[in-house]
Amino acid sequence: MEQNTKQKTTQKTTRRTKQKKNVLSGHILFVVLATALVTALAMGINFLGRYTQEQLYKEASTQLTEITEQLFEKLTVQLDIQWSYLEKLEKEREDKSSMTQKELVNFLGRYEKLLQPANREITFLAVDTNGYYYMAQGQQGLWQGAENLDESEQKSFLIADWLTNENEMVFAQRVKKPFTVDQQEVTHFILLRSMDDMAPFFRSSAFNNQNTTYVIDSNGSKMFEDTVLPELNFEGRNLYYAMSQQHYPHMGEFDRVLEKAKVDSFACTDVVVNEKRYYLILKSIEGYEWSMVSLVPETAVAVSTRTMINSLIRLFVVILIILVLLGIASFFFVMRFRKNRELLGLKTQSELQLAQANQKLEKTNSDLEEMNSKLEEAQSTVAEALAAAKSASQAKSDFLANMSHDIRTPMNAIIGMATLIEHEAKSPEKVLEYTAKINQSSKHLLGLINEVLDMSKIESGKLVMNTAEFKLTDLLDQIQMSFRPQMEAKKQTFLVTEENITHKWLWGDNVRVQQILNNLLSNAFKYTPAGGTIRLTVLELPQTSAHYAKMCFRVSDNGIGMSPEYLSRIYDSFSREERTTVNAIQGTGLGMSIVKSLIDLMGGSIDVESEQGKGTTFEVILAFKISEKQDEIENKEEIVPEEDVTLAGLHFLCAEDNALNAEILTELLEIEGASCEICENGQLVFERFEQSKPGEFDMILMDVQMPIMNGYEATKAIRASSHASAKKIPIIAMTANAFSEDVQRSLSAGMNAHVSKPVDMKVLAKTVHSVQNGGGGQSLHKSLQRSNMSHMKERTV
Amino acid sequence: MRNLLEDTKQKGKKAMKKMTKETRLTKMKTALCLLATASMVGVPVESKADESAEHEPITIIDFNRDYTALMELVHETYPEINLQIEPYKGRNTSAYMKKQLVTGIMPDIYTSTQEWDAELLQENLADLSKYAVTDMYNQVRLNEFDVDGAIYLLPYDYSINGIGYNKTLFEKNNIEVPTSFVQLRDETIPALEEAGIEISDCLMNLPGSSFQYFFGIASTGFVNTLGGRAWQRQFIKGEEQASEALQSSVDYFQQWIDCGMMNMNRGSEENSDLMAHFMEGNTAFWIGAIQRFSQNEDGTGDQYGLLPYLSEDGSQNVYMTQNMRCYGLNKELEEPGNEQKLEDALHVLEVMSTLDGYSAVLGDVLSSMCSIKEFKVSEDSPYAKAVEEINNGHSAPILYTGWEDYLVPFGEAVRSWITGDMTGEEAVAVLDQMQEQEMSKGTTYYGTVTETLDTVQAAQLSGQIFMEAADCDAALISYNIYQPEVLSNLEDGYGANGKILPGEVSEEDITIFLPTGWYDTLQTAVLSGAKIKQMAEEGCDLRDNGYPYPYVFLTKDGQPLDDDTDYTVVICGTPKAERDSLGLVDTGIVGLDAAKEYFLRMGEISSAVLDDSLVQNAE
Repeated sequence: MEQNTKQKTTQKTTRRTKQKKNVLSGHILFVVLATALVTALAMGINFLGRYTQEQLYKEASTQLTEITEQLFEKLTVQLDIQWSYLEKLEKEREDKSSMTQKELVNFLGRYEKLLQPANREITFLAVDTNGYYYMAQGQQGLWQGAENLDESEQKSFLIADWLTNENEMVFAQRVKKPFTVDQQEVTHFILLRSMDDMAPFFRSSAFNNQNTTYVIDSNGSKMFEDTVLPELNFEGRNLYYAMSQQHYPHMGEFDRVLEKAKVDSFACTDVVVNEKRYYLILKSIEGYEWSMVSLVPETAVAVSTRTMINSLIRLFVVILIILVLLGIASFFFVMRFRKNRELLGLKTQSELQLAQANQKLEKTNSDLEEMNSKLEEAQSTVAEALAAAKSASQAKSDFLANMSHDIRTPMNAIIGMATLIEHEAKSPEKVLEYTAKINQSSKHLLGLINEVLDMSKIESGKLVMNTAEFKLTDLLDQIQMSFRPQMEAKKQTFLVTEENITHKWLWGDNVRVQQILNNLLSNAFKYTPAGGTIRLTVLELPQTSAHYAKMCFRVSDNGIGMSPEYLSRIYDSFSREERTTVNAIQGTGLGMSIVKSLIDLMGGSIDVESEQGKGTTFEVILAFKISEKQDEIENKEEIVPEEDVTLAGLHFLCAEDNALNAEILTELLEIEGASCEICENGQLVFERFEQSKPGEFDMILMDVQMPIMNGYEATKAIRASSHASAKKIPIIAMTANAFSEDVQRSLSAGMNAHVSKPVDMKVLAKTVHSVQNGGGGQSLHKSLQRSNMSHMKERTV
Repeated sequence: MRNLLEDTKQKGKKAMKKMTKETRLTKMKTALCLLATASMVGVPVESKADESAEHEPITIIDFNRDYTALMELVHETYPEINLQIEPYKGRNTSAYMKKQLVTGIMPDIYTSTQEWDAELLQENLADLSKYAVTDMYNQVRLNEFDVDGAIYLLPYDYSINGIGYNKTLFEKNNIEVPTSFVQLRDETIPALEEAGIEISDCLMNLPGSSFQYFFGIASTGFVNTLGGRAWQRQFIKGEEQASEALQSSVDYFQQWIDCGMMNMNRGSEENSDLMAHFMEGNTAFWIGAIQRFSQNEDGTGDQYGLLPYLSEDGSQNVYMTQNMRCYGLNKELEEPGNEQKLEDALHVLEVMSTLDGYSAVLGDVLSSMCSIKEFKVSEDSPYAKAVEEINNGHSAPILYTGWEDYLVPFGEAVRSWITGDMTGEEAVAVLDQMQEQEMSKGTTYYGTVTETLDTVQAAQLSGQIFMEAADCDAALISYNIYQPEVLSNLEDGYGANGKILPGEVSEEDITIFLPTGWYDTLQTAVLSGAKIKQMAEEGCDLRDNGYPYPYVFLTKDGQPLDDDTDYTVVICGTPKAERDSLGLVDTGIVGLDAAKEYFLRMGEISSAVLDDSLVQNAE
């Protein structure tokens, strides 16, 4: 009995020990798993954080590099204007070898008055070999900056006023045609500008003025400071010293930033100041002994990307946390389950224990129910997280939805019409009708793709302005030609007015200017009811610089107008006003965003006034460098009515590597009454041309992207060959590379014009005609414009 | 003249009072400005100053400038800072400044009137370009003091020198103020002579004065053209000579002598005595620095004006501008352990570099031009017109840096020229001779000092030298001390000043501390032993204002004096009240000559040559 009791007690103890061991090993497993999970989670978050920071750094650096380039272009232009004043001063002076003091003083006074920009002080001096100087107020003593002058053609530095302690910037230019005043040789003309006047040129409005700028000399001494951000007010004259005290996460130390700036004249890096991260830009001002240092808060650079990445990180973290919670819940569930199994084992040994076990099982069941309810709660949390994820990617979805809808709509039409053609193949009328509709939808789709590509280029900062000489009136003619037929068809009155245009020949990216106007006019066309009036007024504004003409383009209509709420977000991408009258009109919602971006890139401005039911007026102001080209040397192109242009009788040599495209081209040319010979790559085209008799081909249509030898190389080879027609045979680029830089590249390679794919035979015919009539480079631009025009007609706000 | 006693008692506090009244608003600005400075990136954020904490004193030498008001102003923001002012009223301020830089023995805040050689600056002064105080200065002015991007000296204020004139006298006699030399010579001077008015008082107490007058007048022509400035640089390097280049200047200066404008009618009279003569009101022009624009300090009495040096036709008139003070910091402050001192010294500079600080430093002295960004010349400043002219190029810098070794010999030659003992050509030839000497053997040295001797020791050394040279029984040599109630320009300039710093000793180095300066002769008196002891005990009340300066009292062989016996005593610094009663006798022995002879004889000077047994206790 006693032995039994002992045995039972021993068994009980063994069981308890076993149970305890199980519980302990379960806990250890839990701790190990939890630690591994938390470690993995921390490592994952850390890696993700570092990775995104690195990507953001790269993007911000790229963005800042581009913005700095633009800022410097603006600054350089302003500084060049100051030098041009001095150039003009010297030109204005008559070529006399000597002047009296009075003549010189009067001359300086007159010129000063003539060039004085509105409300700005501008002072001209002439300095002689003694260092004495002359100004509008008469002869003076030894000029305080005289000892800084040397043999350099141009020199710039600061001087200070003793009365006010205010500084002036000196632009000193050595006199090219020396002359004497009272037997003293005048060596320099000087322009003085107060630093208050110059300050805006050094100031940057990028990043909403959230940047601090310093102009420093070669030793790092501050010459000018614009400390917008009080926390970035670096103490001491020597900025290099203050900068060397900061932490540079990517470059390590400031010396490396300086070294880079010395080699490349530019450096951009991140810097931590008082535990806050900024971007530092250091760039030499070319031609001066000065550099500009700008600091921008990290949060002001690549804002949209940063917001998107942060949302993704937050989402990632939420999901991870939920997973961890689920893991913990599952672990507890398993543990409880094991415990229950042990309890069931006990039931077979003792009824009493069974009863107890049953009780415990019931309790466990109740716990399990509770657990289930918790699991349901966890599921609900997951659902909420998913909703949050959906919400976070709403913007992207909106975009995709827009794009999906806008791409699918014309695609649907194209596919549908093609199916109908199959059914109605025997009815030529129907086939023609369906083909016309396919054409229309294709053009719309092409326009859409171009706009999305444009916007993508603008947003990525890769859009490059291609500056060339162009004639403003030609541009206006083109616009009229494009819009007048469709407006007349809609019984709209289209008025184009030119006012005070004194500079017709300008330097600028006329393709982009036309793109801007096309967008504005296209909107006016669409949103003005039949019988309405649309005006395009081009007005030259008073010049603020001798070398730049300021043009105002005003597009007004008496259409449906826009609501004030919508006006505030008119330039946002994918924005369209939600109105029944508007929604029926097709569009991507990118047009105005592109317009605004292009105008910003050109340094111009756009204003809009609109009232619902009364109409809309857009006013675009752009400055163009004035070309010296005159009208008389212009080769006027013969304007041929569209319907008179034909390709009939022409024999083309064509380069096209895609068999289907080659077949289509052959067919289309034949329809137009022309013939062609197709070669599969540039090499074959070149060889075929070499073997041809002079005059055998009227023209070459050149694809660009081809294997073995591309179109540019082939053109160069043709132009360099000894063939009698090598220099004169017209070559037209026919390519899917549709951006203006592609056009420029074609021109540089020696082609005469450019037609973008898919080929519109009317455009091709007009381009061929233009080239035949010696249209050259201008027609090259026009061909692109026409190609753009075809899809721009379908654009909308 | 106003009673100097009254002046002395009132002036120190007056500057403070004036500042309190007039600049209450700017004081607030100062505080804000200093707060803003402290908030700049990189400045350690300071906790509220602990008034009880003991800070090591920050030293500065006054060099004729009053820092008492500044001290008060500093205490308003930084009560814990102790600014300790060391006095100097000796005869060679610029040489002392240079010697400090050469030896590196200088106060915490270094003061200079010159820019000096870049290497000397780099070696001994802290680069201030990294500190916020440099942001308080105009960049262009700092450019002139830029050494490869470093700033060792802050150019503080500038004086404008020209020709002073008695405006009231001209108006009273209806004589037009001249605008060209031709007008001065042909119209003004004959009119003055006819009215019985003296033409000019020329301050000639220092050889440097006549040097500057010559170059001031020469600056209306060749010297202040680009060619002339190039010639100056080349001459200092020994690449150009003076005689030929300065011929037109010699001819022109001769005209100034001939017409009576440049004269030595009143010999080498001290500034205060000569000014007293000018203030009598019957002299038309004052040639020398002018710091007051009215006869009386309160603005009443005759009114004075400032003319430029006149060119012949008036088209190239020039004012001479001089950087009056530059401030730097002893490089030792940047050494480990001196962090608190460095911070305190920077705070003092920051306070000085505000408009309030400027008023405190300049006190009653009328402001001319200043490099502090905030500073603007007010329209009612007596310098306003001159500054406008200076803006128009009618100015030339005073020649000093690089010309140190020419100042005395050429200055003395110009004096001889004015008195007719030399021709202009001969005077200018001295420049060429000095240049040759400079290039071949350099400066003459009379001995070597091997350790720093303080002012009291300098007085004792002077006493030993003078007692021996004048063969006296005793010597009473006063020495300068700082007394907050006494304005710096009323300190003891007749006693020993400054420290004797180690290194080779030139004539210039001796004049730094020597009570007799360049030209003064030894003065002796025969007095009873009791009287001498009484004087030694009471000290030298130079201005009779109740603020006496102590004497170092020496006797021959250290023998005590018998009260009733008469002794010959050499005295440097006599109490104003007793100046006439002491029966002073001029020995004719120039103190500097005696000192040079002594230095040559001793070769090496240190505390070992000081015979303490000669020093008597006044009691």
